[in-house]
Amino acid sequence: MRTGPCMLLASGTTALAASAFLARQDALGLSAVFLGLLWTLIAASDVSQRALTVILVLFMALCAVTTLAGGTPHLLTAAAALGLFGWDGALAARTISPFPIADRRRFAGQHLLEALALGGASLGLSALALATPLRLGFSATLALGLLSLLILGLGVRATLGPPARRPGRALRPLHRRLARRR
Amino acid sequence: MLRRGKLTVAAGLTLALVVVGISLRSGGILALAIPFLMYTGAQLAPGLSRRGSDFLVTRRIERDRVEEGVPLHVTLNVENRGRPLLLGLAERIPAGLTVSDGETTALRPLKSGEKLTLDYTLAAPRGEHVLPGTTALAFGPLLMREAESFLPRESRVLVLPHAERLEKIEIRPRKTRVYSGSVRANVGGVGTDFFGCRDYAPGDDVRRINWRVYARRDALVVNEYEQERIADVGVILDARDRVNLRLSQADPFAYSVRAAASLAIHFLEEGNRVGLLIYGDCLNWTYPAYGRVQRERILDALASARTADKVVFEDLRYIPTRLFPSRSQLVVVSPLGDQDDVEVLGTLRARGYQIILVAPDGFSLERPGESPERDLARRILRLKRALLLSTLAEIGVQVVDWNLTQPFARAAARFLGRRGRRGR
Repeated sequence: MRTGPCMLLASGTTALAASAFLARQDALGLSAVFLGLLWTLIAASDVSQRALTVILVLFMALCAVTTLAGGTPHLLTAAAALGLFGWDGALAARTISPFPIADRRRFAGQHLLEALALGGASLGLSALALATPLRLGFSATLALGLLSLLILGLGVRATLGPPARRPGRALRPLHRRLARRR
Repeated sequence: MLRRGKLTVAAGLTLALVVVGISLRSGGILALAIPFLMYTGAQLAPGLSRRGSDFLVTRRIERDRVEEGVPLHVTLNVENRGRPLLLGLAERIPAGLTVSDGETTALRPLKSGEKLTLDYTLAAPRGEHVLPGTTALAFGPLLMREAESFLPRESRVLVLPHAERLEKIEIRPRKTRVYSGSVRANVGGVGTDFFGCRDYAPGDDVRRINWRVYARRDALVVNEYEQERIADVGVILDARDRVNLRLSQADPFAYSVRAAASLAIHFLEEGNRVGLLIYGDCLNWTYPAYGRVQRERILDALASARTADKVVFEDLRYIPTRLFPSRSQLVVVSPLGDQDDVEVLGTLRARGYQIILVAPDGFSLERPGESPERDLARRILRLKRALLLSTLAEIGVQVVDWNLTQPFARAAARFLGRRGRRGR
């Protein structure tokens, strides 16, 4: 059930390495190859989930550095999308590992299709964004960025809500506090 | 990693890429954030049920009291009362229970009102087991979103020790109860076995007159037969960690529990009044009584019997003899520790109790030849044990030296049965 995610991760790192080599950044390309091998190995084995996430962060950092070093943006966006959905697939494969193999197989196929659809959509969107000539000043970009982050933050808060906690001492009614003391 | 963790990572990376992209005024880095933004949006989309109340859980266990070795058939039903979803169910099986047949997990799409059923069979060792509930993993319309919840549904199962059917065991307590039973009471009266003769008294049955004695002595003498009554039997199970040493994979205490169960049930079926004391963790006392209800009480107590290491119960001298009627029958199931235990049993014997000692031989489960030192140690311990048992036999304790590779019924028949006693 881990073949799909491993393939996505391998394709993502290949795209990143190709972009780095095309930009004549051999060191970045070799780092991408090394990271990709490590990532795929971890996804295929039972090493902790945290390692997968740490490598995702490193991978994205490498993508950003390659972009700044002159890598092809389309290829790098494709690498980021493949890496992200491969990471999600690897996590899902671990989550469903206790279930019977027939159920897992059905799930994995559906998950892969979903990942490819979302990845394709995000690639299309980024291609559109890169193709659209948009000239914004620094303050307009900053304002737009902050606004989008605010909306994102509000969305996260609305979906997950604050963590459930017991009311603090000050919020607890006085008669209950006295009853506890007794 | 569940939804919250994934969302945190995706949102964090989006934030980082957007901030870096804006700071460096790089469109390429901002474009890298687009897949993450879409992923975060997919995680935030509505439609995933996270509430346990959206599921109705029912579990049916064929029987909640079974004997050791009998398989437990369990059926778990989960009904979806919320939106359609893909539901993963994983039944939480407590340690000690093993699934012998069927599946305890499933991952299926469920429409609203549809049920997911898990059918499985458990093999359970002796004891009380609690199935706490099931873990539900719900996937929304997009499989990238999942929510885990625990659906509590507690079911208790009591696995009773296996009791063997024993041949007739002869006990001779000095004191019996007044009701007729199967224990010879050492009192003349109505019975089947000849007991003695006495002078005829008006009212005696003419058929009991011994005519041969009359012909010889010219006096009327009647035959008396030994009365058969019921007796008080106290079963003491030694649950001290110190003596129930586990020398191999098999647990000798499990054998002791089975022996105690077999003996208690045998004496109850003979009509006697039986009580049980489990000595080790605490004084777990089942008050003496008769019949089927008492049988269940004793089996319940034995089902949850565990060995323990308590300083208070380090030796047998704190057995509360007040719990057992004086001069009654005691059955002690113990592998025996040292000379102190022998002294305690000797004291009980001196107080008038008739004692049967069932001594499971834990060494019989060990395979010889592992190492010369181990073999030598085993030989020394076996000699020590044989010495203790012979001392007990000398003071009138009936000893059952039980080789654990054989069934208890065979050992009981050999050492306590009629044929065995005649043979020795």
